[in-house]
Amino acid sequence: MQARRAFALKYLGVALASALIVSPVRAENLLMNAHMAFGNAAVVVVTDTDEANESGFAINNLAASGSEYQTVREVRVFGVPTQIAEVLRYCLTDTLCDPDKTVSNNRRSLLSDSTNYYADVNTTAPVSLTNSYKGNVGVTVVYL
Amino acid sequence: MKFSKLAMIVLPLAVVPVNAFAITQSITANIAFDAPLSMTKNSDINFGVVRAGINDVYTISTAGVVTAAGAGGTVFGTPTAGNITISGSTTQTIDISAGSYTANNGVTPSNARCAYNGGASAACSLTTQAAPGAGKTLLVGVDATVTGSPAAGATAAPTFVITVVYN
Repeated sequence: MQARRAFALKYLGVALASALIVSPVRAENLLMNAHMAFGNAAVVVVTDTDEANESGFAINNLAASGSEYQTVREVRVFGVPTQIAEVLRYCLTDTLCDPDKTVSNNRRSLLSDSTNYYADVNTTAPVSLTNSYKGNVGVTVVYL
Repeated sequence: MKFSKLAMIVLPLAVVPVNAFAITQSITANIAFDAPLSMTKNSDINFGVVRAGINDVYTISTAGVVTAAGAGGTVFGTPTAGNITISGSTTQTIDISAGSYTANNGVTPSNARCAYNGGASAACSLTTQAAPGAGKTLLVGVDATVTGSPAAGATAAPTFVITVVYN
């Protein structure tokens, strides 16, 4: 009886060992992570669009808000040609402006077949600043 | 009477084969060799940055495109689908499945989708797929249900398990 028990235990051990060796070869598992982060969408509010000055219509009070840590790739100033003729100047802050200070007609005409003209500026500044722009009717902020 | 006794002794000896005390049987022990299955993760899934404060169900396809069922959406970042290289036998087909979905920070994964070896995207319960050989690509997408209106700056990394098995 003891011999039978020893025999059974011996082969049970062999079977378990075989299972341990074979399983990882026949089947493989891999843990996948699905990363997700959350941020605020950019919001642009334009006021005083009818304020006129010697350069034409101006947008002097434009507040852009959004992520506190994500930089913006570009800021587009656009308008409908039949309503507003041109974008005069655009700056992200009072001191950070496009080097040319103005947007030429040639530059705007790159999208002359579009319903909107626009100008864009590249920047690494945060978008959550209250900025001042001169332009026509609207601004679009694009995250990096 | 003497004859019958002699017969009783001789006859049994006559019917016993000469080699009754030794018999042989040949047994072949077959064994074959092949490569074990292995998976190498080239990239995890990345939904990028989605809108904070909104509960929604996001789907990232096996092509890495994120869509939202509701008012949510991608704010920025570059989403990527999961990318795994499966290698092993050049002849043995495999089954691919997904499970053990585990939520993290209010984001629960579900409904993994797989595209193996350039094939179409489908629910991640693929059977009898081509032998992986030196390496075939498995692209992985998944749904993610967001709850708890996560704040801006919050992150989550829910997990699930991809399993491949030889047939």
